[in-house]
Amino acid sequence: MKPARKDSTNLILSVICAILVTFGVGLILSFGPVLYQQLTQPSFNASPSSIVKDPPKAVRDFVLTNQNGQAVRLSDLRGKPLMLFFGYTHCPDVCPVTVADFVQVKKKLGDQAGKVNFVMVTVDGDRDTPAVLKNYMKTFDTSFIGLTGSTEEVKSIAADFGASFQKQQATGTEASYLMAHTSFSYLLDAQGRWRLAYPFGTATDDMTQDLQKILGES
Amino acid sequence: MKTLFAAALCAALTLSACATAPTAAPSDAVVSSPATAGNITVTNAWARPALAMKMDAVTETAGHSMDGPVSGAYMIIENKGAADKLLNLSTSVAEAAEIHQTTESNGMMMMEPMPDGIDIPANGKVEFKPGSYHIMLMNIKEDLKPGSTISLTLKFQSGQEMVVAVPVRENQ
Repeated sequence: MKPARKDSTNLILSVICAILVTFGVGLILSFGPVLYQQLTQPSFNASPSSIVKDPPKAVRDFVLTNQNGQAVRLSDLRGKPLMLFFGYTHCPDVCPVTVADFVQVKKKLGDQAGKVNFVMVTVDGDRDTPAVLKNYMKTFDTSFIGLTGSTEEVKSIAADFGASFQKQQATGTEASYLMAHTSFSYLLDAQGRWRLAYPFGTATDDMTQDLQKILGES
Repeated sequence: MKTLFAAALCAALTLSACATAPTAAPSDAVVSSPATAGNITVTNAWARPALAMKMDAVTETAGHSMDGPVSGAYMIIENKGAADKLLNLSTSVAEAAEIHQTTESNGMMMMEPMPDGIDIPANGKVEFKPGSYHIMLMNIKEDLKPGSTISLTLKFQSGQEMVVAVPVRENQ
């Protein structure tokens, strides 16, 4: 009788085991994808038009000159989220649209407007001296930071964001030259990490909402 | 007496405000009246603000006569007649006014000058707007402040010439 009892115990154990395994597999099958998605999905619920940098990318520090002729280190600007754009002042169309969008975003931030830095790094260091940048920023917002530096320096900074620019040999114009440039804006958080990128023409409401969320994190 | 004084003060303030800041009117209030010449009508004209600079400050590093501050202007040109062409523009507030088109290629934005002008189709229209066709005003000679108005002279292939009042609006 003893061996028979052992057999039946074994049978019961096997059945329980099988049930547990089936249940477990079922659990993994039904919840696994959801769990996987949750683990791999960007943790930040950003606006639809933004491109999320996930994980956030630490930006290499740099020093450029602002519109008052002072050296500004990117890391000096930490403590506030920052909107960054690469443009130039002899640009009648795309650049002023983006900088004007920054003006709108700042307005929409209301009470929180002072908690964000807005920066344009010029891709035309040859013409955009601090004095020229200062003159330009006056037509937008004097609290905006205009930064200039050597073409080499700015090229390498831009490259870290996947941004690029080059002189465009102009024919059919009296301008000495024009610039071809990528036109994304970038959002850096208060720790100086690149979090989001925006294509040209992104709704200012989207940028504002993302900034509000970023501001709410700290 | 007090009321009279207040009224006088008010009037004086209004007058002085008018005298010292004729451009202080809210930019939204400035609307360019549609300008019409022959079959051509221009509406929705506006220009971006820009501040003139002393040329020695500009040429310090650049050294090209056209390297001064720039502005952009936009408008809708409607044609109710046969096909025409906008050949060129001029203005007293800038050294040059050129027709450009913003184009995108491989993620790079660039400007394409259109020195031969732009076709205005028969019974059609051409819209100058941000990110598209625009008028580049080069070497701004005087401050273009929001609320002020500049005038642009448009020359068409048909021989038609027209002056358009273009209000300067806040950057948008």
